[in-house]
Amino acid sequence: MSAGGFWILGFGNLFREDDGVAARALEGLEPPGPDVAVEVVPELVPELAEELADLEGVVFVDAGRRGAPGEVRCEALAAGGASSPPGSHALDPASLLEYTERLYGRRPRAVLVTVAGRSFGFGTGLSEEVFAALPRARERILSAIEAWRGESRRRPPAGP
Amino acid sequence: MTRRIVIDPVTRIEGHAKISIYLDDGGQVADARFHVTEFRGFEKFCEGRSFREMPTITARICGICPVSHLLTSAKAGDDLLAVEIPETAKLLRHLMNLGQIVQSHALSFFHLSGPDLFLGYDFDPARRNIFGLIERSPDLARKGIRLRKFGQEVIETLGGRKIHPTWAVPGGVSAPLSPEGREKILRGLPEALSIAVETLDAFKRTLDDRQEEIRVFGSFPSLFLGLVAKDGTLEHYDGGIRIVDGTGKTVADGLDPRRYYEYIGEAVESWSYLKFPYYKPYGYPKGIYRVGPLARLNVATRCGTPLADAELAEFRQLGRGAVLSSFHYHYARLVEILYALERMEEILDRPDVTSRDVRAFARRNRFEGVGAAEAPRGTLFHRYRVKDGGLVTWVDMIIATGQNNLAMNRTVLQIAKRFVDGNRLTEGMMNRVEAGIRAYDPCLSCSTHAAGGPRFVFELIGPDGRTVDVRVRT
Repeated sequence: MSAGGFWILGFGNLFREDDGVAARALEGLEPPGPDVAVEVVPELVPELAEELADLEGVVFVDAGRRGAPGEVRCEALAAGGASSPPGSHALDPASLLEYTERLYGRRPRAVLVTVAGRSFGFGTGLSEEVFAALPRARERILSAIEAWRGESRRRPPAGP
Repeated sequence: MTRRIVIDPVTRIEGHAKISIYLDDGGQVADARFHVTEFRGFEKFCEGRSFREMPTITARICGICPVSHLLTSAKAGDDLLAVEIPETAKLLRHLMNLGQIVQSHALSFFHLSGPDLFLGYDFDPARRNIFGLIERSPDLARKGIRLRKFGQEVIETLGGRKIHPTWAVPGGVSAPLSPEGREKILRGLPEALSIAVETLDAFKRTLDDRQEEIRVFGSFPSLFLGLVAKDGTLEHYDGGIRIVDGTGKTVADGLDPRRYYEYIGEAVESWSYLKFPYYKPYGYPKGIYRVGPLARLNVATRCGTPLADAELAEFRQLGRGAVLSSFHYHYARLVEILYALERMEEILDRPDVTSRDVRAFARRNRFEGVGAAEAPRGTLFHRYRVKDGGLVTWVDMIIATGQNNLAMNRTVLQIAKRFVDGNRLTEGMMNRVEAGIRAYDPCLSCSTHAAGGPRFVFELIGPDGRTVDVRVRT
């Protein structure tokens, strides 16, 4: 990824039914520009911090465990929002961002897009409601990126 | 009358577990148990799938050691095909395994156990975590990241993805290593080696101050089990099983890992979902054995690389015959990181490492296949039965962490007896009990295949079931 760019980062386990929603949502998603990378990982791990530190913005995508199945939420992740310090190799987005800031002195703008799941057992399919929510999830993801890029374009260039 | 202290969940490990400590009337520890509270179900999920999919499927048991399952499953597939895979494929699989050793051990040392080791067991629990470590020593935290990142990049260069690469397949691997990929890994080695050497030196300097942990964190005689090469050299990918006892005497050697079920039994206890593997000739529970970095350094005759061999000679001075204290898993992990980096360089220097002959093709030739390899946490076995079309009908997996189950229970009891006084509970006491488990770097998600996040409750329960005291970790 290029420094100052954007990252659409989905995570979850494809073999845990609705936990695989991020992978499905980002399947075939064309990056909306050369400055946007799209990636899916099973879990958020500490070394992602090194890449995050250089970015302008990141959209995390995950299955949600709250809300009606299929409900799409987009939540801004502000500084100081870490629920608890990471106690495992797998971090939540807020903890990873906090980790990034503490280690490298900066953090990107960030939102978390979730699709509430119904079922998280062993299996590879999505629940009906979750599957139906995929287009809405993609729309929210792309809107977040577009909003940030719009702000970047409107920002006056740094001058003498 | 017995009282019970419950630590639920155990923190800074992978997965979910709790520790129950039983106190006698005097408030002293009478017994302790390490419970795994997750339910295992992955084997059933695999039934009906093609054995050719199994590497991809089993790699998703866990996000931290997917490579171990990928390689072990591919080896089980090799067995079903009854093929000898090309030499280059073996080298590349071994290389990926070494990359995983580096990244997994780095995570365990710096991230999971680092807060205890560098901040202290009695440090403010709100800050005795990776954030506290960053505050105290940001350079150390960044080194851990760099080392882990290097290991992940080896995996990605070979397999095309950092996590859950689908590259190892029955018969070999799906893509060779390019000359550019080889150069990329070689370029990263000097920094990784430097970090490994510095960290090992820094850790060794602290050992004098850790004598109490060394004495009571799982220091007891047991068998040790691991793979070794034919000449006894440390092995992570191939070789035979060697078992030594607490004096370092070889109990069994050259055991075929494909017939693990002939010498490894599994007992079940009503209070844990995790089974209790044991060495059959000694029975249960006398057949207790340990696997993983400590065991591997105990069973190997040598590492076979210069810096690691020098470290091994120094490490061996910690015990008479075998090094017994589970606290030294931390030390052994660092030696293994060093070994892995040196071994990577040797493999990459071989002219055939970039050969394009990386796969043997065949149809199913056997109805049962077994694969074994050393995962970061210990020896891993996959055993599959298939029917005529290659669809899986039965799966058995002996996970590395499960093989340390008996030892983890003994460790908890030993630490609890030394540090826990039921009449005066302190957070530091309980953290030491947890730290004993963390020394094994257990991956309970692998062992029991669960999902979800941990709760933080520590509860003292009276024999009548009433809560006597509650501590909540936030």
